[in-house]
Amino acid sequence: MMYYIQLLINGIALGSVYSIIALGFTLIFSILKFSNFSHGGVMVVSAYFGFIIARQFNLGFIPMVLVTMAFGGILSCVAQFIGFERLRKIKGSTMLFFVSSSNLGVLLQNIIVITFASTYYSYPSFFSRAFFQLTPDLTIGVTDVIMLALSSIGIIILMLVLYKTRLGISIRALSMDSEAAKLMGVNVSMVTALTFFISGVLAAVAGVLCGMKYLLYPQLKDLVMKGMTASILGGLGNISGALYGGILLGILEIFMTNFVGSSLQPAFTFLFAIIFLIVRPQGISGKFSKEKV
Amino acid sequence: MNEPILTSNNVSMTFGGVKAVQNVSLSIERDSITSIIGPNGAGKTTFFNVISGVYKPTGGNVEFDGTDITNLRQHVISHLGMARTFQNIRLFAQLDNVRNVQSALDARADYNIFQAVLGLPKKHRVDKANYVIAMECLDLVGLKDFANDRPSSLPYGMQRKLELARALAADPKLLLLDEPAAGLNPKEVEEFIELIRRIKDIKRLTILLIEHRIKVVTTLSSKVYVLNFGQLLAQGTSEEVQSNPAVIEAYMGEDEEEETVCSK
Amino acid sequence: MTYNETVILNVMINMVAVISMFTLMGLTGIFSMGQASFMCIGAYVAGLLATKTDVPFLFTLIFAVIGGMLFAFVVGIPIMRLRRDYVALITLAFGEAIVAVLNTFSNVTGGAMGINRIPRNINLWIGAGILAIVIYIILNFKDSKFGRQCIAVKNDEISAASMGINVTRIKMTAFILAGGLTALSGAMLAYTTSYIDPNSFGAARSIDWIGIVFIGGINSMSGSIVITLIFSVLSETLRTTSALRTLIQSLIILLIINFVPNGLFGEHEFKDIPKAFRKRMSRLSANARKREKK
Repeated sequence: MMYYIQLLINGIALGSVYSIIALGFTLIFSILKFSNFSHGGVMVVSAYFGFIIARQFNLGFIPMVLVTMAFGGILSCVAQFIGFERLRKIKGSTMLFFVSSSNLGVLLQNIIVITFASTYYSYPSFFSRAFFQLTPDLTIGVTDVIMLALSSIGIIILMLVLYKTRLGISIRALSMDSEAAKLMGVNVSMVTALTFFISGVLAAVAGVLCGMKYLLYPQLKDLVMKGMTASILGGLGNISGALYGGILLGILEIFMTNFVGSSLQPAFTFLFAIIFLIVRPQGISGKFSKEKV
Repeated sequence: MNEPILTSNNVSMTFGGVKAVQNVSLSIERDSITSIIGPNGAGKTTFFNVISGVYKPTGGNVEFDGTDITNLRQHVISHLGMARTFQNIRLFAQLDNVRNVQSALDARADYNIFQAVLGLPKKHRVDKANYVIAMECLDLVGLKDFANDRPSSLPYGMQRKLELARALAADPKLLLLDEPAAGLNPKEVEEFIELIRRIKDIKRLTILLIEHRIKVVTTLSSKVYVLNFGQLLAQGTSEEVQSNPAVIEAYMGEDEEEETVCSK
Repeated sequence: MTYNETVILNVMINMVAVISMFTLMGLTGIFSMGQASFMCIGAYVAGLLATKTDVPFLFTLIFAVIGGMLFAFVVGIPIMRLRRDYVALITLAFGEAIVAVLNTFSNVTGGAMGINRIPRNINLWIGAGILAIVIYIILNFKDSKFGRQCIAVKNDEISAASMGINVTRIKMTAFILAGGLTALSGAMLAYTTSYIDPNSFGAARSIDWIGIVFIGGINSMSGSIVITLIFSVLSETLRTTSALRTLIQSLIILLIINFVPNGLFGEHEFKDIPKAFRKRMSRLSANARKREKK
C-alpha cells in the first residue's frame, strides 16, 4: 500500500516537472495560438547559463535562479523576434510558426551541443539534503517540492497578472483578436514581447530545476514535448490545465513504468494519450472553441 | 412533386450560453428563390451552417429532398445535392481558379488511387471531362479568361463570382448563398441579379439566400423569412414582410446607410 | 558496394523520404514529427525478412511498403480528426512508442543492438529505379483529383467539405501513401547500410526532413528533391560535425522563413518550365505588338 502511495508521490513529483514546462508553453499557446517548440531550447540554454554563473560567481540558489530568470526572459524575447516577429506581420499560417519554432529549438540546442561538446555537467548541490522524509516509508525529492511549489505559485501569479492587471487585460485582448486590440490602443509588439518574456522566465525556472533534478545535458530540450503533452491533456489554452495535465502525465508515466517496465512505457503512455484525446479532445479542463465559419 | 425541397423543424443551435438559433422552422419550395433576412447577428449564417452540416443542431431536425440530414456530415450533404457559398469567401488559395471550380467535380470523380498514380487513361479522361465542365461554369459567370490565375489575384466582386461558379460545378439541387452581394457596388449588384436570373434559366435548382440588400431580395425572391435574435420573426412575400411593423422595428437599430427595409 | 555508391544511395533514400514528407506536409498540411518511425518500420520489415527468411528481395520491399501503410492506417484512424498541433505531437509519441517496442522485444528484433549483416541486395540501378517510380507516382498523385483535394483540404477544411470532399478520407489517403513510401525508404536504407537499430529513427530525422521540404518550398516537389541533393552533397563535402550541420540548416530555415516564406522554389515544378517559358514569350510578343500599334 505504502508502495503505491510512494509511486503516487513520485508521479506527482515527476508531474511537477512537466507542469512547470507546460505552464510556459500553454501561456504562449493561449495568447498567440501556436505551439512554441522553441520553449525547450530556451529551457536548456537557461539551464546551462544558470550552471555557468553558479560556478563562476559562486552564487547561491536564489540569486542564481533570479539572474537566470532574467536571462531566460530576454532570450525568449530575442527568440521571438528572430523566429516569429515577421511571421506575425505577414499573418503566416500555423505551419510556418510550427517550422520556425521547432527549428529555433533545434538551433538553441545545437548551440549548446557545440559549446559544451558531449560532457555532461551537473549542478552544484545547493541544499544540504536531497530528500524530504515524509514518513518512514515515503520520501520526496527537494527539487520536486520546489517545482511543485513554483508551478502552483506560478499559476496563481499568472492568473493574477492576467485578470487583475492592465497588462493582463491587454494580453487577453490580444489573444482574442489582435487587430481589434491594436485598434483599442494595445501595443501589440510590446505585449507580445512581454508575454514571451514571462514564458521565458518560466522556461528558465523549468530548465534550472530540470538541470538540478537530472543532469545537465542538451536533450533537456526534448522535455518540451512532455510539456506539450501535459498541456494537451490538461486542456490546451487553459492555464490551470498545465498543472492538472502535468500531474496526470507524471502519475501516468510512473504507474506505467511500474506495470509494464520502463522500455515499454512510451508505447503505453502513447496509447493512453490517444484514447484520452479521442474521448475528450478538449483535455481535462479545456473548452471547445468552435471556429467561426 | 410539390413537396418542399428543404424543411427545418424547430432547429436550435446553442453555443455554451448563447442561443444563436432558436426553434426556426421553415420550408423551401422547389425551384424557388427564397431569402432569409435579418439584422446583423440574427443567426442567419449559423442557420446556414446547421443546414449544410457544419454544425449539428442542438435541437430540431432538417430534411432535405426527403432525407433527414440533421446528423450528416458536410460532404455527405454535398453529395445529396446541396452547395453553398460563404460570407467571408473561402476559396482555395493554392489552387488555380479553374481548379477551385473543379474541386466539387474532383470530389465526385470516378477513378481510384491506382488509376491515379499509375497515370492510366481513365484518369486522364475523367479529369479532362471535369476540366471542361469547370471551364463552362467559369464561362457562365464570365471568368473564363482568369482560369489559370489564383483567387487572390481577383478583385473582390470576381472572387464572389468564382465562389458561385464553384458551387454550381457540383450541379446542386439547392444552392445556399450567404450574402452573395455583400461588398458589391450598385452596378455589380445589377450584374449579380442578372447572373442569378440567367443561372435559374439554364439550370433547374432552388436558391436560398441570405441578404441585406433589399433590392436583391425584392427583385429575386418569391418568399422571405426574417430572423432576429435567432428566432423567426416573420415570413411572407417581400411586400408583406416590408410592411410588417415588427420587422421594421427590428431593423430600426440598423445603420442609417443600411436603410434596407424602410426605404427602397 | 563502393563508398561512393553508398553516398549516392543515401541521397536517393533521403529523396524518397523527403518526397513522402512533401506529400504529407506540402500537399495535405499534415505535420508528422514521427514520420521517421515509418522509415524504421520499413527498415525492420525488410531487415528481418532478409536475415531470417528466404523471401525474395523484391517482395521484402513490397512487404515493407505494406507494413508502413498498415501502421499508417492504424495510427491514422484516431488522429486524423484531431487538430494539427495534436497530430504533430501524437505522431511523435507514436514514433517513440515504436522505438520502445522495438527496443524491448529483443529476441525477435535484436533490441537496441538492432539487426546487422543484412545482405546488400541493393545497387545504384535499383535505387534509381525506385526513386524514379516514386517521383512518377507522386507527380501523378499531385496532378489528380487526390492531389487537388489534398491542397483544398490544406487550404480550408470546411470549405473543402462543403464541396463534397471527405476530409478525413483524403487525409488518411495521403497519410497511408506517405507511410508506405517512407517505409520503402527505410527498406532501402536497411539494404544499403546493412545494419539498423531503433534509435537512429527519432524526431531529429523527421524535423530534418520537414526543414528540407520547407527550404525547397512546401508546394514544390522539385524543390524538395533539389534541396535534398544540395544538403547531402554539402554534408559529404564539408565534413562538419552533425551538430554544426544541423545548426547551419536551422539558421537557413529561419532565414528562409523570415524572408522567403514560400521556400526557394515557391510553387514551381520542373515540368512547369516549358509552360512558363511559352507564357513569357507570348506576353513579350503581345507587349511588342502593343508598342507597334501606338
